[in-house]
Amino acid sequence: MSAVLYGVLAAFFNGLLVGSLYGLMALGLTLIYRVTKIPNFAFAEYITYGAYAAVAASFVIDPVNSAALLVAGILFATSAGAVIALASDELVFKPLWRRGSEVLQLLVASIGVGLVLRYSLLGAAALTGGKYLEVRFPVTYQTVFSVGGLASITTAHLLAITSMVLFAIVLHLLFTRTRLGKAMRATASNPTLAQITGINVILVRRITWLMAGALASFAGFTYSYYNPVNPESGWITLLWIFSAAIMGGFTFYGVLLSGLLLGIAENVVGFLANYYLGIGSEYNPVIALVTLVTVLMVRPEGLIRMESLVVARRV
Amino acid sequence: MVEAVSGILVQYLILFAAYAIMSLSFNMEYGFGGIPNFGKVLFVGLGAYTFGALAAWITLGIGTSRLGLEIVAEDEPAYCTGTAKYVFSQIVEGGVMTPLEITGITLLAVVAAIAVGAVGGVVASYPAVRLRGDFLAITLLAMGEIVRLIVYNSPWPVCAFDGLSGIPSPFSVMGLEHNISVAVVSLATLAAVYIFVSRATNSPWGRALKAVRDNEIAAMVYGYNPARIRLQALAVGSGLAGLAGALLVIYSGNVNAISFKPDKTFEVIAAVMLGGSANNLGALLGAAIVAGLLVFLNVSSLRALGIDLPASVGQALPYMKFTIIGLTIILVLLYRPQGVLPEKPLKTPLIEWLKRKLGRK
Repeated sequence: MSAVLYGVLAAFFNGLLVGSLYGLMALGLTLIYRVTKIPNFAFAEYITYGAYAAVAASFVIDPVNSAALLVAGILFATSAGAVIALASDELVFKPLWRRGSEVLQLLVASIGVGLVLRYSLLGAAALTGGKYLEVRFPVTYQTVFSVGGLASITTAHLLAITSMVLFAIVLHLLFTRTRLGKAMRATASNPTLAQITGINVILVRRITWLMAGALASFAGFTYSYYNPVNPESGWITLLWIFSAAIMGGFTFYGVLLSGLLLGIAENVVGFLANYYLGIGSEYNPVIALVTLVTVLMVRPEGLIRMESLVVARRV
Repeated sequence: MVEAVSGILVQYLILFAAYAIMSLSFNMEYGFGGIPNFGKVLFVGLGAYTFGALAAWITLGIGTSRLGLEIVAEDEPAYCTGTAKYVFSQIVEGGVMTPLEITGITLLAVVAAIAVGAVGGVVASYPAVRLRGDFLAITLLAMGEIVRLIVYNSPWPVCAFDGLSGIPSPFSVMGLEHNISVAVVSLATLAAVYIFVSRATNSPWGRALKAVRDNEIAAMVYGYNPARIRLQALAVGSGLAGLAGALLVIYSGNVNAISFKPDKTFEVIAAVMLGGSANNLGALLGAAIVAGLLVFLNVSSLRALGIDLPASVGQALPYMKFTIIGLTIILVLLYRPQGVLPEKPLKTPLIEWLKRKLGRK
């Protein structure tokens, strides 16, 4: 195989990993957006906090036992993310929503929450002498198989892809096949009416935020499993996540595919542009941003919608 | 001690003026017009890049020919080279260019910065007439990041990640004290901008802008074209943002795309929300507070004021500033969404006359 083909294959494999992470992250954002209509910019911070919580698990558990450490990392991450997400709703978004704030005010509030969370973490990292300005989960991934030693599939790929597909299916089934999902959809479309029909709107909201936070921080854990994480990692990824969510029209399967496509496009297009045109990888985020702007301009309802957002017949 | 404190005060006044201009323009778009221009930093940046590149290019051209030098630059603008830094320093030393020339160049570059900013605003009105609310905000934010990423990584127009530095200060060439002169000029500019913006928002055009914000269909019934009014608001607002960008470059003599991250937009949003949306005095007040945070919560400023911090706190301080800005946004939204100075009803002669007629005070 020629060098270009190897490069493209390696880029494709890498894109698969990054793309499934984008998809995984965008699932939680989609969940929040679908139920509460908040374009949550603080979502990035739940991811970062999840990654940091996962690393914190390694201070408690003996790093020799890697299986136990992985489980502890996931538990630490998801509980931290769920708590922070719930707290941000209880303290900020719910009071605003009760007062009938516009979407734009909720967006500004989420930017505020994001600033507080992100810069507190940065400040704390700086206070402790900068040792934690970049962390990495102590258990590293293993190569499962590789093509010529360059392009390889690792356990990080398996983790990211499996969890993304699994969670997308679970969320989709939850929304279309269960009473809770039906309650979520009812809460989203008309909270007052939902309340009259006996749905505990507040409880539904709490469950939504707990789930979304856990999803975000699980993604954060996965991120720290294959890549070093710093307090700004989530924020840097946020534009990709929003691109995936908007491209997928805030539908779970659509978001999954969009995330994958964006990740692969980032890596493969980035590699080809570098190989043939000498354009560095630092321009890669432009791909996500241009996709975002183009989709919003041309088809704001989303490009890949894998479900029609109408009420399912069953349940 | 006194000198250090007055130095910080001058720095504060300059930043206040720049942030006040940005806040006034954001307030006109968002407060009065309901256009969430979350790409504010894009237009500030456009002004800064334009001013920096143009001023550096012209001064360097004249400077090199008078000093009998020649600059060979490959793959990057001539003003990014080391020789350019030497030419700039010679110009600041004096004698190479007359004060009149450098003033003319500066004014020309400022006008260009405003024009480029305004053109950017016209481009931004393309999404603004098609999208609303959160999607429009995200689009403009993303557009700002696209431009910043490209400018930060490409040698054109402002020397990539090194940034364009050493642009000669027109005041130093004239033999004046740089910081104090910049402060005076910025405050004068701010006064002019304030009068312009308050007159514009109080005019029939300003009322049309409010009408489009409150009820687009009603505004259309009264014969206004919402798309056109949004375009005008964005063009004027972005022109003003470009002016603020140019002021920042005149002050620092440097342009680097790294300083035009979305965080700057968030600072402006915090200022306007805190001061009071759709209230021009409120925008000034908010800018005064935010600029205060940025200038005084600094290790060097605090040291000059006689407060010494432990080293670790000093390292966390630059981040804590943004925590405070985020907290401000949240607290204002929760407890005083109208801001410190809320929006006031317009006092037109007709309304006053009607009030008197109807016997209501």
